[in-house]
Amino acid sequence: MQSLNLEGSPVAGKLQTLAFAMMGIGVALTAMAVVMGGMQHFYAVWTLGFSYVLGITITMMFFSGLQFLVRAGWSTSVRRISELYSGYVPIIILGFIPVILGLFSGELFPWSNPETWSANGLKLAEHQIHVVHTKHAFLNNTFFLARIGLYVCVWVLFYLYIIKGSIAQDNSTDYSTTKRNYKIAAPFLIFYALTITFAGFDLLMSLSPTWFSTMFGVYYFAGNWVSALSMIAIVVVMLHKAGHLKGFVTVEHFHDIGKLMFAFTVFWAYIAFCQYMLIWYSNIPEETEFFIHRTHGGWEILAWTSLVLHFVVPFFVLIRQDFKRKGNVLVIAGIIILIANFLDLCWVVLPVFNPHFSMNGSEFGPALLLFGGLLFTFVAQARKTNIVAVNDPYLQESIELVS
Amino acid sequence: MNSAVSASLSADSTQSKALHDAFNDEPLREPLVLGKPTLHDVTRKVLDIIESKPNIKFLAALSVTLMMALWGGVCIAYTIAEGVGVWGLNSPVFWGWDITNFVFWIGIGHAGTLISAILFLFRQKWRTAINRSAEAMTIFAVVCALTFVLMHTGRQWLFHWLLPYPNQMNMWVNFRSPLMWDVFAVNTYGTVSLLFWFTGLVPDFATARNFVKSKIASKIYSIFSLGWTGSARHWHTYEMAYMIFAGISTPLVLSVHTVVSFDFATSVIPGWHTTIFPPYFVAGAIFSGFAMVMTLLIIAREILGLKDYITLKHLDNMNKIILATGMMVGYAYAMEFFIAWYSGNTYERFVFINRATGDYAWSYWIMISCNVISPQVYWFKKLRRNVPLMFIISIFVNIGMWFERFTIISTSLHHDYLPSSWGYYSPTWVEISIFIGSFGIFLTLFLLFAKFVPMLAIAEIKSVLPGSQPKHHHHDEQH
Repeated sequence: MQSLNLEGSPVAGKLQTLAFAMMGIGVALTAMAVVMGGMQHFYAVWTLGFSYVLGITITMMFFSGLQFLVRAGWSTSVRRISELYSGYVPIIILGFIPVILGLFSGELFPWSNPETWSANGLKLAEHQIHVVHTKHAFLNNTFFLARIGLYVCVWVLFYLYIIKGSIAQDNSTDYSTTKRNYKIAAPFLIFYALTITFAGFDLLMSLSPTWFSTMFGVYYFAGNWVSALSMIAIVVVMLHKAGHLKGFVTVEHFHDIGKLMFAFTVFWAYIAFCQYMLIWYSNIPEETEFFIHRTHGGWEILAWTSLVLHFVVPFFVLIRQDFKRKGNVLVIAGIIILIANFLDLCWVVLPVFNPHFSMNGSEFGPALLLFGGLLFTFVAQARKTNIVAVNDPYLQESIELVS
Repeated sequence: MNSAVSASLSADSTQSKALHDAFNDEPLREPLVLGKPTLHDVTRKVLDIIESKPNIKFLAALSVTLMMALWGGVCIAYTIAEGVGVWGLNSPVFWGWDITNFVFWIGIGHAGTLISAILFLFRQKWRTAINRSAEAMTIFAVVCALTFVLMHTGRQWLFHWLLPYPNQMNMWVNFRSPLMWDVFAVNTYGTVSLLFWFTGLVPDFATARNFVKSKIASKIYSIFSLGWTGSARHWHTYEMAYMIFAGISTPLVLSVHTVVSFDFATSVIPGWHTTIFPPYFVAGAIFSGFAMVMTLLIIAREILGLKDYITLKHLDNMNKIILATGMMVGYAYAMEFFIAWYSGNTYERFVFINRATGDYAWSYWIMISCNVISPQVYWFKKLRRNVPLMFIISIFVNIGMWFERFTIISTSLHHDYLPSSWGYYSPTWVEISIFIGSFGIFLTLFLLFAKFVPMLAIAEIKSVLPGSQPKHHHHDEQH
């Protein structure tokens, strides 16, 4: 069968250049983080950028697995895009290494040595140290490493089975891999839900070790999911413009992805609002501390940008039917959402290390580096793999989609 | 079309042959209506239910449910006359069966809006067979729920004080209270659901108007059909309106149970104050709502002979949703438990240990077994299509979701911070009777609905008959 990959495509070259540029700037900014802020600052911004790109990458697998689970017809022509991004899974998990180094240095996670940890004058108070000690059964180095090992195993298996299985279908004449995916998608999605929740707890929530929120896993998921949808939208529009998806993808698909982006920006806002509102309203000291810290000392600027860019702007752009059918608008909305989600994570992570707002650009370093890696992997994968699941039983239904 | 596509998709290619072999020649999408009825068959099937004389079974069922409702009414009157002291509420438990039942009924309604609005926006065409009755249940469930909050207020004759209106005393409701938000949320929900349901009914009322033999019935249906002629212009406006209603109803599905969850979660009571409550309550509501739709539709399709319309495919899909939402609820239970420990807060830890092992442990484990364990049978397709089994599971889920609310309310309240304010709550016969009465109201309304209103969306079902949608050739186009 004729292959349908991006070998020799000019748009792939452009994407690759963009990826290299991002990685280059990323390396420079990361170096700047080390030089100007020291190792603690580096660990902090690495954890920030890593949580951001890791969440998007893992959630790409969620997208693909979900389509198998629900036997989605509409999405078949765009599903492969998420699977090509997923090719980054075996690489991004290496990003845990600096996090682990940070853990052992004792500078990153306040719970790893609560008595001596400090950052820019911030310290744990006596009663906080006491609370952290009561959590020792969960927050200790060994268990932390074990959990990371578990996540990595789950994600790699998810990749090897679901994603590889979907790609293998392209050159197979029986439907065994697709049928297997129908069977195993649901268990994998359950593992996804649990691992992404606890990864969110471990990487982000445990940075403020006395704070807790049952919603936090959902909050991390919501941001990842809407970012993953945006990434899919951006690349689908670009490839469609370059003519690579002709005959497979139409504005109907733009419209459907746009609807999901719209729905889940609202979902993100819903989750973020509920988490904030319930804690604000109850005003219990050990919980409000988290938000008080993040709405004072200049950090409120990130709370506002988050509100505006992660909700208000995408909401009013994507609510319009005609806008969801315009590729350029989707790309712009997607970029805004991606930036907003990053700033939102900045708002979660950075105030842990500084009582006052301070950002000098180095915060973007690891995120750009890893994000560039994601794009680069996408291009590399797309050069040797079909960019459409050409042999999927529901492909015809997707081609005929009327949104 | 791209050459690779046509290569892989042309009907006589080896790929296509392999596709048939792999899926045993089963179509990729099961038909939504079995038995290949004509358009007229569909109309007749639905209208025959309305036109047939009520048989003895129907009248017997109706009298039983009416008796239940009446008995509930008597107990409501007794409560109003004597005050809520006739209930088992006492310090420290001041929310008991009343609030449990309120949340239970509000939850039941959610499947209706999910099916009618969210599944519509997701273009899930299988919703057509079940949306009408699910929406009806929404409205009836809201009626039941309102009964309980109204009773709970104590001085029911001052219920209008719940509404913010200009008055001589210059007294305003407390807008900061989540209980107040409930008033707005539930009323909005009830109103929009009613309008949405009615909008969907207009074309079918017109069909009934045209086809029923009784002159009086035709006149009545004529009034409700608002002069519908079925012209292209009418359909265009109708579809626009339907779409807008679906768009408005979707956030309502989230908002109503979110606000209900705020009643608990804005408090500082351990076990109630937890941030996952809003999405967790919404998932639980959809879970319980689907279970109730399941219970009633299994009975309806047996008695009214609707098996070609409410097919095993529909039941299978609903069971999948029950399994998925059941696991979301299970996720929330697990998160609450974990974070209660992780918080390091002694009181949080106590409440959750007490939930699982204390005075109300029986209630907690009923909740876990019914909500988390029992739906696990749906992992198997055979069991998802086993009608007697799903009937039993749907009732289990209803029971489990009732106990979920009871567990949340009682366990958090009955042990206050000081052991001197510990107690144990159990309901009196009055509370139990009012709950039975609410089932009476709900079922009476449902029976009347099934008798007098087109129970399936006639026009929508016609649109999912095989061949009614323009399509390209299909591998599976064999019907």
